[in-house]
Amino acid sequence: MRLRFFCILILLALPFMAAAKEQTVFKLNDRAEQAQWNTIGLPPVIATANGIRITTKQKGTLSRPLAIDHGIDVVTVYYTSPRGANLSFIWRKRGSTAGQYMQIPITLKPSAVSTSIVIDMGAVGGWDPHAQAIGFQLPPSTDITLHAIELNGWSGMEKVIEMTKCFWTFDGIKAHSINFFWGPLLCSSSVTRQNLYRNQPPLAHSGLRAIYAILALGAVIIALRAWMKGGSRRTVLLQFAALFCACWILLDIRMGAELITTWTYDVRSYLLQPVGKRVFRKVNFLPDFAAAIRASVADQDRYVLLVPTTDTFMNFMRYQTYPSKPVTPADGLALSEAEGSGPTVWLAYERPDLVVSSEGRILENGTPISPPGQITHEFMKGTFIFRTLPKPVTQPVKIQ
Amino acid sequence: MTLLWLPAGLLLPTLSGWLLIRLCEGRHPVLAALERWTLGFLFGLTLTMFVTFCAHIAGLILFTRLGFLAVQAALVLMLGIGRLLQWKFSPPPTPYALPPTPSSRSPLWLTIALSLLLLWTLAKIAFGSYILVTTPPYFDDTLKNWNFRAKVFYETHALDVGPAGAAESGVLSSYPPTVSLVKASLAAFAGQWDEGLVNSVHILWFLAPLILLYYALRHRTSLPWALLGTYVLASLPLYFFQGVNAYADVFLSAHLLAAAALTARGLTEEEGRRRAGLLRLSALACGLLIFTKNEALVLYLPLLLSVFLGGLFLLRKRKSMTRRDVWSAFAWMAGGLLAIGLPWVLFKWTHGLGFGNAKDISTSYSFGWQAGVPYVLWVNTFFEGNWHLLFPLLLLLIALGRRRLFSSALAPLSLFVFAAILLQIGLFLFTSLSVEALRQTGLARGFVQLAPLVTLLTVVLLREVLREKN
Repeated sequence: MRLRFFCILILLALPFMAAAKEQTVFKLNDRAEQAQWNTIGLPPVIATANGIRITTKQKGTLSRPLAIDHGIDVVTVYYTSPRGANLSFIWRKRGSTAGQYMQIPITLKPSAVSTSIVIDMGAVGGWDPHAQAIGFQLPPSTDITLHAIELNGWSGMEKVIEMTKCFWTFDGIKAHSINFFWGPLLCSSSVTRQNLYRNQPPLAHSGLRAIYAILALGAVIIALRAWMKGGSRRTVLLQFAALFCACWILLDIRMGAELITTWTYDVRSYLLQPVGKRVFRKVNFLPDFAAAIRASVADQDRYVLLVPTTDTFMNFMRYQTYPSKPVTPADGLALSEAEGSGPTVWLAYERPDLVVSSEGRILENGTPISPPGQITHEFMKGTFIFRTLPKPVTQPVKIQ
Repeated sequence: MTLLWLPAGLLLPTLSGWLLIRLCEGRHPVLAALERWTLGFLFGLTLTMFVTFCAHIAGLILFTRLGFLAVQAALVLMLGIGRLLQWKFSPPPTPYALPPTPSSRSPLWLTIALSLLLLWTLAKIAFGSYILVTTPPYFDDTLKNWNFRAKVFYETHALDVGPAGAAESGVLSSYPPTVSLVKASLAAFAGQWDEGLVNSVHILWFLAPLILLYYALRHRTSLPWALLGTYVLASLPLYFFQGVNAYADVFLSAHLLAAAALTARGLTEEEGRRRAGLLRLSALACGLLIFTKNEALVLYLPLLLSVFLGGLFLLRKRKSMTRRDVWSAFAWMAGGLLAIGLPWVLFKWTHGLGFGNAKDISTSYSFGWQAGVPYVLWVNTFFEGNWHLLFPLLLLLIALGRRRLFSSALAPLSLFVFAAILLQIGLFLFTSLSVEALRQTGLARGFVQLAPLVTLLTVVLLREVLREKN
């Protein structure tokens, strides 16, 4: 009986297993393909040798009808754009009226050569894998050339495998980890899985959905069995409790493994490395930098700190070098003017954009931000200790 | 080697706590030995820091090695004399024994499963502790608050109030300084600031609620249920992660568990002399709760007091307590609260320090419906990896065991837990504190503080529901 049941189950599942990844590519340098695209509120598109170019002066849409026989999970757009653009990918669901589009915002980075953006639609609410039309909504002042659009769909079995892999894909320790964990996630394509925690929030569904589904299904099966075989309420509760325990332990192993993986990374990247080569989570080698400069700022009330982003780096250094306090360049100069003598030590950490001018001032985007001085120690490009020169003391001149 | 200062630095405070608890228990002990030492560590450390704080603002000591040591030695001496007198002049105590576990042997699979889960949990705690004491502090509140304030105390030997102090710690000066003072005392004893040492105390603050939960369950249930509950709490990802990081919410959760569990046990204990002992301990726990974090005073204490007073009223009405017993319990509670609350609140008022966590409740709150919070609450509680299935399980058990929820044995615990959860949710839904919920920065912290109590209630309810015949 059981064997027959499993055979039927496998036969029913065969279509899911058989169909593999399917792909449709629209090459926009092809005349026939170009003719498919319609514009609303835009000047006619310009056909070029490697695609279609769109330059807008006002908001408008560019779209094309779809009639393909496979589902779409991921859309890849190949483009060039001199300034980049913030536009929307749009689609029309089955059964909706002609002008009724749904949209998600996408950002195209500036690029002089053909580049691509991957949009995982599987994780977008309201997406229809068999959409009737797709396209773009373009804001004014857009300048892009579209080369090709790839529409990818995966089979049911591939999606299940990806979901399982996604469930076991771990986040690292980030600033938010002390407040919440995204937890196990579900995604249906390898594209999403590879970029899972790069987006905040991740473009994926909660893995708890699958757990709740298992619990609900289990509860129904347990209740049905008890109803058919006349089991007691206590038996039903005990069986459901066992299922619940199994799910709990699964989640515990999943989340425990995430922590152990990230801590193991801490051991490899920080604890097992020699001083100077150690990197620690998002602050990289700031702990070693803090230790190295401590003696330089120990006799200073304040020092100027130049870091890539202020909050975490500033807090870390304020704590590490207390009672010597870091201040921002603006504070440093304000102090210089107000008190006549500002901080004499300027520390730059991971700021390769900073240069020292011929006058000996630190330049940020070409603008001088420090008094004259010199680099006294450079750890690497952009990470250095800079000391300001003492102001020349003007002697009062005695008039005879 | 510096880590050896941890046991050395905690020895006298823990001894103080143990002596005080033993004095409160009187001739009729109500705690198991390990439970008493755990509470001794927890209460003793907070009490010692409170006395250190009082001695400092009275101008008697500075936050130096000598200052810390003087307070600790004086406390141990005073409480030791008290204990000596109690031991000398009181009849020998009646020993306390935990309820027996049913003699039928647990099935082998259950023993193996529980052993594996406990091993896994111990391995996680060991690894997390290793990372905590060997890596630099990383998270914001550690860098900006707990460790930073501790470093200020250590370097300046003084509290961070007044013009100079406010410039150092800003609004943080209004927080009870307990956690930071403990770190400063360890550094002062060691004679150097060592990250591993000052952070290592958090491991003990994490183990404390696990042990206390085990005993809170053990007083009501058998060994396997108590172990299961301990595993459940330790497995909660966010609680675990906060426990092995230098944050203070797990520390507060331990105090809250102690206060609520002792109060609930005291109000449901049948035997009069043991009940009196438990209610004295409850008074001590509630008093010390004030000196942990701001939300303990403004959020949890009013609820605990309501349950305590309501319980006394009902016990008197049912003639389970004499008028004298009720007044005695009330006097102990009033004494505990005034002894710690009065100096602290007066200090805050005289220095213009605010009340409330993150925001001053008197000036920074605005009221009104906060759209978006229900969705965040829903996702954070049920669809992120913070709590496994704890809250769905609690809801399921409320549905299945609703008749038992407010039975006399569970009522104090249930009432407190539900009121605290609802109050927190209400604060996020109807006040400007919603920002903390929408950014997910403060939403789950409240649940971290309540996690041991929610686990206690859930496991007791689960046992009750599964024990029902039909």
